Amino acid sequence: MTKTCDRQDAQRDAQRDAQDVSCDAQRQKERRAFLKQLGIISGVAIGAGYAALAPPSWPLSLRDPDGERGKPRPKVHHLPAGGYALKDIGTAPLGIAHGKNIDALVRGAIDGIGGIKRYVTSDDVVVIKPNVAFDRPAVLGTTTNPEVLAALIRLVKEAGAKEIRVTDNPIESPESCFERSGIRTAALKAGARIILPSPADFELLATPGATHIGTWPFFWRPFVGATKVIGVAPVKDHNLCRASMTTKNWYGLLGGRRNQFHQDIHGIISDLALMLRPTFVLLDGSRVLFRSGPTGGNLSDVRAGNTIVASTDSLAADAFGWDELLGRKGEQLPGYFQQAAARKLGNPTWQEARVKRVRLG
Amino acid sequence: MARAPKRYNPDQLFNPDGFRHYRRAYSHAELRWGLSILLGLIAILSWVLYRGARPDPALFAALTPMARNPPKIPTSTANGVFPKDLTPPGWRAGVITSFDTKDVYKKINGRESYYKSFGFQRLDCVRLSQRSSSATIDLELFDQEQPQNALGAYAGERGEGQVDRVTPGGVARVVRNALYLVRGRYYLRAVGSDESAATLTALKHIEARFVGAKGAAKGPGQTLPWGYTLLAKVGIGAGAVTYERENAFSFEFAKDVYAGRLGKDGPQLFVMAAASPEAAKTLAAQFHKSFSSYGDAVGKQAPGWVKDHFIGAFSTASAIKRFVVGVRAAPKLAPAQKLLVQLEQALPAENTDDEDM
Amino acid sequence: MRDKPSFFQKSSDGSPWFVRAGRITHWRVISQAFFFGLFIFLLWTTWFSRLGGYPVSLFLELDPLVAIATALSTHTLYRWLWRAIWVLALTLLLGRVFCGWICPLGTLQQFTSWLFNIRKNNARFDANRYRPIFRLKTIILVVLLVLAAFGMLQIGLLDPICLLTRSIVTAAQPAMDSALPSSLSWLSSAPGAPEQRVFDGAWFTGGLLVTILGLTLLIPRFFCRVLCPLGALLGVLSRFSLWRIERDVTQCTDCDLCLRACEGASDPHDALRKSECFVCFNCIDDCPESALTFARAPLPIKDQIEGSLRQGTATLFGKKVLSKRPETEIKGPDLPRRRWVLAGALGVMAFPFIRLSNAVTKRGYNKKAIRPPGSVQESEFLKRCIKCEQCINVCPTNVLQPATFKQAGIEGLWTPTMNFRVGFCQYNCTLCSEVCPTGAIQKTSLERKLGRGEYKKEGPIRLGTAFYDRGRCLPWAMETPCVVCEEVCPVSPKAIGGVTETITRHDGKTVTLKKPVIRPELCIGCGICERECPVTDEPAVYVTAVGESRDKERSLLLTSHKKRGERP
Repeated sequence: MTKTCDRQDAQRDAQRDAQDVSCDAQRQKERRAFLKQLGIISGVAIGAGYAALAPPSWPLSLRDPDGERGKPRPKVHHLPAGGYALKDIGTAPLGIAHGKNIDALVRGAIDGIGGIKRYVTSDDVVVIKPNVAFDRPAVLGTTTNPEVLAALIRLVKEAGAKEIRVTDNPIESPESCFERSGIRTAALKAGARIILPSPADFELLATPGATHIGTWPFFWRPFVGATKVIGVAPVKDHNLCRASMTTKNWYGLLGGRRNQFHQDIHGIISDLALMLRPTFVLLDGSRVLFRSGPTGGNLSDVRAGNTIVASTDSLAADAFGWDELLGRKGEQLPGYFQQAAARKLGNPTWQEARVKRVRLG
Repeated sequence: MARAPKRYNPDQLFNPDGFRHYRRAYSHAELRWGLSILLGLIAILSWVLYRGARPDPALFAALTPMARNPPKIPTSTANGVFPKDLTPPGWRAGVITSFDTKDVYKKINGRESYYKSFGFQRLDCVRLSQRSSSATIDLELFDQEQPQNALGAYAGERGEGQVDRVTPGGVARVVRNALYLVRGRYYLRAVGSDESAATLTALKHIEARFVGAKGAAKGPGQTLPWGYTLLAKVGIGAGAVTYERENAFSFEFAKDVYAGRLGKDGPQLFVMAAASPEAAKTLAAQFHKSFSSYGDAVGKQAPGWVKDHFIGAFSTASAIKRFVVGVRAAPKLAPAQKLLVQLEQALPAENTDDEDM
Repeated sequence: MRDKPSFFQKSSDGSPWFVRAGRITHWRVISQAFFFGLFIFLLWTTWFSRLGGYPVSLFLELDPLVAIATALSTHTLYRWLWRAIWVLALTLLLGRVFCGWICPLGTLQQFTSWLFNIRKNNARFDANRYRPIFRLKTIILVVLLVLAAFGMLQIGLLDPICLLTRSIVTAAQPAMDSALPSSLSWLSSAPGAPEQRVFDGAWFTGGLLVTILGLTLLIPRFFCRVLCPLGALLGVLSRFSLWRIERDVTQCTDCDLCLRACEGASDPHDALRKSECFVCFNCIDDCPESALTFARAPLPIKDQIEGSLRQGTATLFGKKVLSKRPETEIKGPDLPRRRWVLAGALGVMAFPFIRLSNAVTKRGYNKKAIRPPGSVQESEFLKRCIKCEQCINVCPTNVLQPATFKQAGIEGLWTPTMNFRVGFCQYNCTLCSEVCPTGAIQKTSLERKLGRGEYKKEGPIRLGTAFYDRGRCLPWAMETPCVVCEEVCPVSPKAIGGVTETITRHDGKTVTLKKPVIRPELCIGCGICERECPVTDEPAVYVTAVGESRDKERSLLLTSHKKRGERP
């Protein structure tokens, strides 16, 4: 087209001028289109080149020379330093109540360690962890007694807690475990919220110093915003670690490959004691599964314990349960007691601690 | 037409012509039918919700299994036959397990006949363990029915060169990591898992509890049986006395014999009680005859002494009132004769406390 | 462009807006939406915490094909299957109303092809004309019913309710669950399940649904028109229906607009194929001449026409006939008699081909074909199971899985089996037996499952027996303490015992090991040991079908379970 313009007759000036203008406009348009395309091409090329070749530390770089950068890096969570335990409680670490009236027992035991108000205040979001591991009715003693849980929730409520969450990750299907054990009804009726596990609820938790569960999938959702943690566990015989009580109870907060734990069950339980330092624990000795644990399944495996223990030291509470509720006084305490005690996580010689014991109706 | 036709635009994301239709006439009948269909749907929905709100309770309730056996309460942790405050400080006691003549084999398979030969009645076991270490002490308390039985069983397990101590109402000895103790009808063995100072202190504590316990080791004879006191009078300590309930010295007729040796190689003195003086005489004669079966009579007076063929030791037995007293295996004759006299003099009066034997 | 007319303005015939809005096709859409919603809702409630007393398998029970086929195979009608009478009655009265108004798979297809339609009217007329391939569904129906009469129930493969239930349960629901954020987990199909549910062969069942929906873009409602055996059955039945679409030949101008959205391809513009018509009423909606009505029309009108159609002098009852097509009805399905015979012969031949596999024999049955508790004996099971996967849907532990070809052959494809590597049979649970519509899993009380009360004599239901692979078991083979299996064993006394041994390991360390053993007379085959075994790829303790209590031929021990199982 430019050539045609060059050959224009000089006599047709006006026309030629007009044509020149149009030719120029045409050229300009072409140039613009060309520059635009060039701009797009070079923009894409430079962008792609940058993303592909820029050193990994530069922003927006995609470069991954050895394949390490592309690996998933899951976020690791931490529980608050020092756990949820109170400092310098200044009361007896062990409150024991014997009797039949569950409400009175729970109150009596907690009063033994200074009363609920010492532990729960009005701004608190309290996580309560019962043991709901199996789809069994409560009378079989494999799960926390719902009456004990309800009494505890009422007390915590009375102390003014903002929110009470009841949670567990059972071995069997969570919904039916909560339903058939009576925990669901008891907790909802008493005014707590139940959080059942779903696949997205688990996050990696770091437990510095733990032998086996240094980072392990943890049932994280209930702990978001939580300020206090109370464990309430039944007294159970256990086929492998001999006794499952308040310390073993934290097992239900973990996910992942829990079936590997049995290869060093005592090490794991001592890790659990390290992982979660509760505000206090309640040992539910209203029923005692004294054999065929932890699944039980027969009423003849259960007897009445008529005892509730509240403690800021789960090892002491468990040692008491071992001596007096499981009736294994004099037998060697299971290995996890020594291992946890060696980490200064508690004192299994409960008799040495200050103990407040009451007998109620 | 109901609505102005929209322009067909195939670039629209979804069906560009979705709600178009071509009919021109509408009818009220359709509306009426439609409303009745709506009622039907509402009825179905209500039925579904009604059903939903009425679950079969059996589907969600868990069965409460019936106990096939009545709940068995495990053995109480009460002290039972053990004295109070048995457990030393820093130790803890386990559950007491008990066995009687029928099931003691479970505990001591193969050796139960030994205890049964001493009138075994019952065995109570408990394990003490130390909190700070893995040390344990196993306590086995044998009820042997009679003090002399207990002492007999005790003496029968005494090893060479072990020294006994006489305690109020019994005897005891500590051998390395184990305490053996008799009090009344009970024979206690306390075996520690090690010989540490802590274990030994604990054993001392246990011994003190047993010896000092009131009413713990109840039974006939808080004091030692007559045979022990008698032999003690001639200088044989209770620890050196053995009691043979039957078949003493391998003599079939010799029953309920107390025997004790004076010194390591000294003569062995023995006493036994018979039902009557006549019976005692018969027994003495039987002893004499039995001694003579491997020896020769020395001198002529009765009861005569017999000198053993093989070891040259002297033995005799004589009946005094309803007792039989004797000396066995005395290395020299003269001191033995003196001893026998001493023993005869020491014999208790006619109505002793062992009338019931 | 003109202004958009108001929705509330009068219609062209002068009737008020609400008559236009209340026309019958709108009610159909409402009905379809209602039933589709109900269908999804009932699938969603098929879960422990939602179940309540909901009739969760209602659609399967309403399905006349399920009722008729199981009645053929078992000579009985299980539990709620009589409910199919409602659909049967509706069909005999009004035709295939079920297909057009109720069937959720039909709704889904119709919605898909409506939403993604890019055809202009002319193309749509062609897409909705009848094609000979549509007779395939009747052949499929005959083959399936012949098989059912022989005692082999295969209707579940293609029955639309079974197919859609299966695809949603095994593919769509888990896909939705995995997309839900933590805060919406209550909405998931399996709330309170700590792990994402997985299903064997979900790609296939899900892919099948996507394919069916995709094919609607080629031929609208492809599945309904070509494959659906239920539609074929209802089509056969609808020849007797009292009402049908009636074309007034004195009004019809042969414009064919009624074909524009005809769902069934039933030729409303010509002689109506009663067996194809879904009674969707789209033809009425598209007829500019008001020539189409839904009417009680027992007699054809062809004989009443006087005069010549060709010359345009024909009249009907004195009115001029405008349409060139005097026929108004074809009653039965378009299947020549020889094709009926062929279809029957195909069924007769297929039976031995499929049945003479190992599935129901004493020997060679698949050791991993472990059926849920309450299942009837295998041959009876295959007479009843319609592969709907409702049991799989309700199972709280995800142990129930659709069987693969490898496990169960074509005969047992997608029937429920237990995969104990995924889940375990929960001790106090009998939900699968509650939701099964056909009694393949017979309704079972907990007492019966656990062998208590009046079932004490029979003993508990056993699904199989656990075995140890001592070469893989940590205590047996690797000097490492474990026995998770013993811990989780739910029976009391425990069916897993053991020998305790103290040994010196290679490194000189002394360890006390409990080496587990199975007590076969106590084992109920619940598989929780296999599920919890840390050797996850090929568990060291595994359950196989032998010893299952539903079949005496597959028992393991001579002594009855109950006598040996009692606490001494």
